Amino acid sequence: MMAVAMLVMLAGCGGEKEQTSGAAASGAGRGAGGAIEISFLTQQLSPTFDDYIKGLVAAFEAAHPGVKVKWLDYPYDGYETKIITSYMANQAPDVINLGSESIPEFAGRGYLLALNDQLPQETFDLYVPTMLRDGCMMGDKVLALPWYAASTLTLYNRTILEQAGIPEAEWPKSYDDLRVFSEKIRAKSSDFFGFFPIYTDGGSMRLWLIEAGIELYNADRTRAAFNTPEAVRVVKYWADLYKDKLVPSESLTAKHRRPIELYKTGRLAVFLSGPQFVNQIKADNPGIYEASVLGQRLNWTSHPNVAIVPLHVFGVSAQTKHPKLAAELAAFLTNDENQLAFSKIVTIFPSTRKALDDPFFTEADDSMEGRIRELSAAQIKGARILYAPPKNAKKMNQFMDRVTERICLGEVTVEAGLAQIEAEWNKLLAE
Amino acid sequence: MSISRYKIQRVALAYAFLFPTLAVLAVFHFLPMIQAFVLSLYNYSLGYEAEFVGLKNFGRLLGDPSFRVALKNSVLYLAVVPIIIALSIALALLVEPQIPFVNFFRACYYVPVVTMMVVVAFVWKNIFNTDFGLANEVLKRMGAIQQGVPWLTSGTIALFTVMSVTIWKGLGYYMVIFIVGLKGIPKEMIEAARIDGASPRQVLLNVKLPFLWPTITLVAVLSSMSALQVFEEIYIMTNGRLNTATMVFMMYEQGLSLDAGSQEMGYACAIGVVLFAMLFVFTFLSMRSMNKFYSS
Repeated sequence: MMAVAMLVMLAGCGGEKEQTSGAAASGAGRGAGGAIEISFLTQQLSPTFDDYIKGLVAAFEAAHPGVKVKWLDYPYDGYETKIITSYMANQAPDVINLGSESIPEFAGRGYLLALNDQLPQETFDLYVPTMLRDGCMMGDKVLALPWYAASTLTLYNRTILEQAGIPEAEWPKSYDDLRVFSEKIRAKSSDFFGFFPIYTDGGSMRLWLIEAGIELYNADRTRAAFNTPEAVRVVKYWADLYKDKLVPSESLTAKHRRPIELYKTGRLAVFLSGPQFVNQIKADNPGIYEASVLGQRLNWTSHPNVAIVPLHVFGVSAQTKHPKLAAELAAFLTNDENQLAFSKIVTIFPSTRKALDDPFFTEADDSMEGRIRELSAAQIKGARILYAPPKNAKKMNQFMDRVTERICLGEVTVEAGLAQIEAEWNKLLAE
Repeated sequence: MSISRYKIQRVALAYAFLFPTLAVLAVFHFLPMIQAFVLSLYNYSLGYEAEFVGLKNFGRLLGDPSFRVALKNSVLYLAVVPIIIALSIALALLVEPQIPFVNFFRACYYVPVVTMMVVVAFVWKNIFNTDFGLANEVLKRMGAIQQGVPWLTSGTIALFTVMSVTIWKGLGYYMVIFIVGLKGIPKEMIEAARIDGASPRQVLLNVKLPFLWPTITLVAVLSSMSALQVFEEIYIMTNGRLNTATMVFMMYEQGLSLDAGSQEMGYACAIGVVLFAMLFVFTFLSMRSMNKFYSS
């Protein structure tokens, strides 16, 4: 019985869902009948987007006779670890979906093929320049192609704001307005908070600094460059909101999903939200959805148009046996037409200029969904992508979060805290 | 069949039944343990070559302020042990007599034990929420406090708040062990004490507790080992923030939570080796004190 149990346990160690018809995750090869086989990997898109992805596969195969495309899909948990182990086994997929923050690490390991010689310049010109440059390039090498992006918008709970006696003209339109606004909300009732910032989730301070126009690194990204008087002002602003109890106590340790829970239960007046959460609010609390008014994301008055967006990309494996074909597949998956089609079935946004200028985004109606599209497209055109160093990115963010915590608790001054982060970052960047 | 051949066959049969379990333990328990000991002598991240560094990881631990905090918290967490023992004995004394509906109460006290810790931790995290939690709301309405107590947002209090959840969840399990221990006390000893005029308190202190000593030692060892390896409550309720990280949490943080290229598997294994040494010494000393009790 124990032997059977052992076999069952070993069989259970397999893990991820593979959406192809029985093929292993392998680099390009030749299938039966001499067809060229290439594979591409996505992150947790199946089964929700099976129809869309399979449609892409069929279209690419129709345009490339003799080519067989295998689609692989891994869940979110342990995604990068699985990819790395597939590289170690020389079995990496030809085209791989990654977050843009993973590109430097994968490039540092030699896992990604430079696409400059594989695709014509016209292909690279399709994309929003900042997305290609900041999310997919290292130096002058193009290591991936931008795919879909998300935006951040502001939701206002009209009911709470009316109860607090705050007219629409005084709703916060920038971070500068937040302090006075939060004081008014808290003075009215202890049942609500004005705003719920995230302090320590994956290096949140980086966003505060970039939004205020402060660069994190020097030009060649070898040293930290954020420790400036302006950084002290910005960090002090956020820390004082916490110390003065103008934001929820749990905001010091909460993850990014916590504010949506409070907004859905009517405890939060203003919520900075990814548009994908708006549908959640509609489903879970239609009353709050009806009371919600959508606005463009908050920024500093001095830097009104800074938007940092998460970006997904497709890279081509350096292990691929058919580099040109794999690069063409990556370009096909991320072209104008296919990205626009994807944006029409789910609330994500394309990274190509033509798709963002499509009437679907520019001539949206006045519904909530229409406003989301219009505001998000405008935001994404000039968006910045967060850069992550080739190694130790998460360690740097963790250290930054620990020091942010200590600053907010008054255990260390802002100046000393920023100096500590700078020193640790420089040490880790030099490794 | 000769007697010796019969004996050999019986022994062989016994080993045949033991072997599969041993094989599973060897592959999934002992082999990873040995690998962890070996890996603690290396620097290793997934996808990179392992680099032999000898005892450097242990030296690094000694100088790491995060490890000192984690070690301190893990040792502090042992404070749940005497509380669990005292409360479990009290509960066992209450529900041990066969009175009407006593099984209902036994079941109620045992329900937290069979509830997943993840669920328990999430619920208590919401109850202890400083701004919107039930605990502060009740205390405010009773007039006991004016402002919310920072149950999980103050470094001083947070660890004790998490410890209270561990105690709450474990009580039923140890209560059952003590019920069995109480039932093992010879009834004539209790009756003799009562006939001699002993009060209930004297019966408890001078008859029941001495007989419960082996059970108390067992519960102390079991609950101490659990306390030193606590993880889920910390992960869910505080995520190791505000200086509440314990040694197992630190192992997770160093070995698994970082991106693949920065995972410090060797360093995490070194923490594991230190934790193993602590558990080994603790268990050895506990078993020795129990043996001394029996021999006396």
